[in-house]
Amino acid sequence: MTDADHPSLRQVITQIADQLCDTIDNNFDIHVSVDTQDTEGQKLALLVNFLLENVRRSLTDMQSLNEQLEDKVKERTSLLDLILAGSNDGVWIWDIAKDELTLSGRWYSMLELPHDANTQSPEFWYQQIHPADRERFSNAIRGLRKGESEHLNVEYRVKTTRHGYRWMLCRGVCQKDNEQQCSIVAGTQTDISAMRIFDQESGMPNERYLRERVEDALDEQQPLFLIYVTVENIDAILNASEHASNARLYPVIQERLNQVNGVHLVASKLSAITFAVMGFESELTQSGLTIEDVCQQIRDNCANTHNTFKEDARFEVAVGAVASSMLKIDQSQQLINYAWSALRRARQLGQTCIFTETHITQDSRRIRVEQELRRSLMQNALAPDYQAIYAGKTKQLIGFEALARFRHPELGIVSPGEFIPIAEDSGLMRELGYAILDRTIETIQTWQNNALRNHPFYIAVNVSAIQLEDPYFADNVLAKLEGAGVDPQRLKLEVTESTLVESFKSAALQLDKLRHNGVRIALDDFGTGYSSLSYLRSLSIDTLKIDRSFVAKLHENEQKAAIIKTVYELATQLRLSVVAEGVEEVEELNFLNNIGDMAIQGFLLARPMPAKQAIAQVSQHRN
Amino acid sequence: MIGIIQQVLLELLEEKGGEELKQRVLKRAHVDPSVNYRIDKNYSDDECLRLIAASVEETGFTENEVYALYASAFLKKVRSLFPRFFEIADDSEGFLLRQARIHAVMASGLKQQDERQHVNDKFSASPIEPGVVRVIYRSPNGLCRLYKALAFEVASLYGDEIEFNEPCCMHKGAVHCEFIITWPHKRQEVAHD
Repeated sequence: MTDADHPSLRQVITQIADQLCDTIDNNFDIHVSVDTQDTEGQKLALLVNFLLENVRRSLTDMQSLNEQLEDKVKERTSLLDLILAGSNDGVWIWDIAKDELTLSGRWYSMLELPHDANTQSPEFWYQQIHPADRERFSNAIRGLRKGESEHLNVEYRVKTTRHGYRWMLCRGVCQKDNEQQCSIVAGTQTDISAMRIFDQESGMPNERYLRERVEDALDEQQPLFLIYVTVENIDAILNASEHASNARLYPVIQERLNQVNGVHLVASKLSAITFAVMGFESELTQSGLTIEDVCQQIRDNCANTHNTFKEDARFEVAVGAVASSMLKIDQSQQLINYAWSALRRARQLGQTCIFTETHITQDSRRIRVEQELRRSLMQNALAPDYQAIYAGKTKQLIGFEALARFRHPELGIVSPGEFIPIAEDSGLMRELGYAILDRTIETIQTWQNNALRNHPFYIAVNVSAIQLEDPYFADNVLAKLEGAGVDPQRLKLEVTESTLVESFKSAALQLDKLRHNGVRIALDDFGTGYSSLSYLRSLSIDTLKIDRSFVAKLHENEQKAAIIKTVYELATQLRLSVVAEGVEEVEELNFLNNIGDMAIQGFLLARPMPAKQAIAQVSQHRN
Repeated sequence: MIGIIQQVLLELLEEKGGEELKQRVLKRAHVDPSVNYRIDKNYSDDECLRLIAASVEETGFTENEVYALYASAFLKKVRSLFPRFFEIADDSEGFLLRQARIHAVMASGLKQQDERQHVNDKFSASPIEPGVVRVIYRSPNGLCRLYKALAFEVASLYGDEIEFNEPCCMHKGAVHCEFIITWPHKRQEVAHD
């Protein structure tokens, strides 16, 4: 046999090595064979083939695993796509290292932009955000990247191509690299406009929407106008119709507010009964309309009887308006404040109010009066005037009425007609009421111990509705009286119909308790309200005060005379005392005395004056 | 079957009865008397079974005795060729768990993928719990008794005692043979833990 028949072990190794070279192209599907009888050579070939078999199997397993992973990834991606589609959110991925932003198609569509498959710079995103919100957004991103917060959760407005700014909620997290540095930030963007700028109940834009639109318009120097409308009879319409509901009512209102030919208006809901309409002055110019025209059109729309809820529904409205260019307004809050002021005037006067410079002056004073009133109350500087009340026939002192007065070193004497409504509007009535009450009790205490020590008298104080709503009002008054050592019978509380109408039940409870403990109750302005008589039936009172409107010139007016006679007789039957207010002429006094024994309050006998002067005048009168 | 099986058998016959015994067996089995079995080649299963049957007939030993002698010779041969397989295993349990893979090594000598797969599918070994191994043997050759002999030989080699149970057997109509091999001393250690 030749060496070729029995290759040496060296040759066997060479044979095997040569065949293994075929694996250079990652082809492991080879089988090594040697032509030798040598068992060691055969063994080497066997083991090499074993190794190759293992490699093949591993590669097959890896390929199978890869395919499974790919399927899994596809499945997960598909699920994720489904979730994202269901959530309707935009997706963003920010590669910090590359400073590149990848945005989903939905992200673009949220801004009404065409989808761009290219990556963007972060600056692109930044530029879409409302200027007022950019800093907040930047701070939030910075905080996330620095690790100060684990999640990004920031709201901002983005500009859309057709529908102005929309509110978005941006959420995200940070992925860190091996050095714990933020390498990728990713998250979603959700359109939250509906929640933020729409009123949930009515579906109308809300106050926030209005405010933002006003801000944007003024920032862009686009003159605009605001018309604020209060629908005074919403409750009546809801109560009158079995078909009406808030959900059905608001769309009707919205429609009537928006419908002005030639002008695009957006109505927002500010409260249950107040709405705002916004429009641009440029459209007024184009349509040849004035703001007064628009207000009138709105009034006409509301007054128009449509067949709503199967009955005729006519909205009774108060309309106040302001135009930014008219008053050179460039601050949104200022414009809004003026619109409210115009509406307030409209409600008070019962007619449309277009806000003017005159109103600004009035409002300035109003604000000043409110500020000073507030300060005076805090400093306990308010002191009422007292107007003496005398028996008509005997001219004996019966008592006094404490009348709220506001004297200010700079403002001068601020009339009750001015500061009382301001106090009501600014929530100061409760404090004012208690301030007058406290000073009155002090005055009673002083007078009962001094000037009027042996003289029966009372001081009457007007009580406001808000005081009567307080469930502890009676207790507080009684405690004050006790603390001051004042007989409750020396205090008389005057209530009017308007005071009672708001919460009669709680008012009656408080008054009953007070009367039960000796405090006397007078029904003021009797005859001026709609249901004076029913209060006589429902309330325990001691005195009727006949309003000045009936007393003035009653000697020349048979009707007034007849009414007063009737009231006097009624009061007498009910064992109520009677006070006639506003007596300024002798003839009036005489006429009243002829009717009966009643107390007289008016300039004829005494004017309201500070405590010292009032008591001095009484002393003079006695002498 | 892989050539090493036949090679070991012929070497055993020669050892026990010289060339003369070997030739008688080859003749009885109708195998070429000059045959030279390679460890990296596959040969007819039927031929191998004929050689085993002829060995039983010519030696006068029982089948089990032949298997026992064979098992000893086979292990000695494999150990001389692939000593590292025996060094890797700490004990006979470790070796028998690897036996299916070692069998696959032998199959690597086969050129055709389907032939290799056929050999690879014959054995599978898996641990049930510490000290208990399940082996599944599927082969039309039905050499379960040879496996049993080999198992005991391996245990003896490592100085282990084993219990060998065969819950099912192809000879009794089962689709495969199943062996439950238990190491009683390991079971006791686990019980104490």
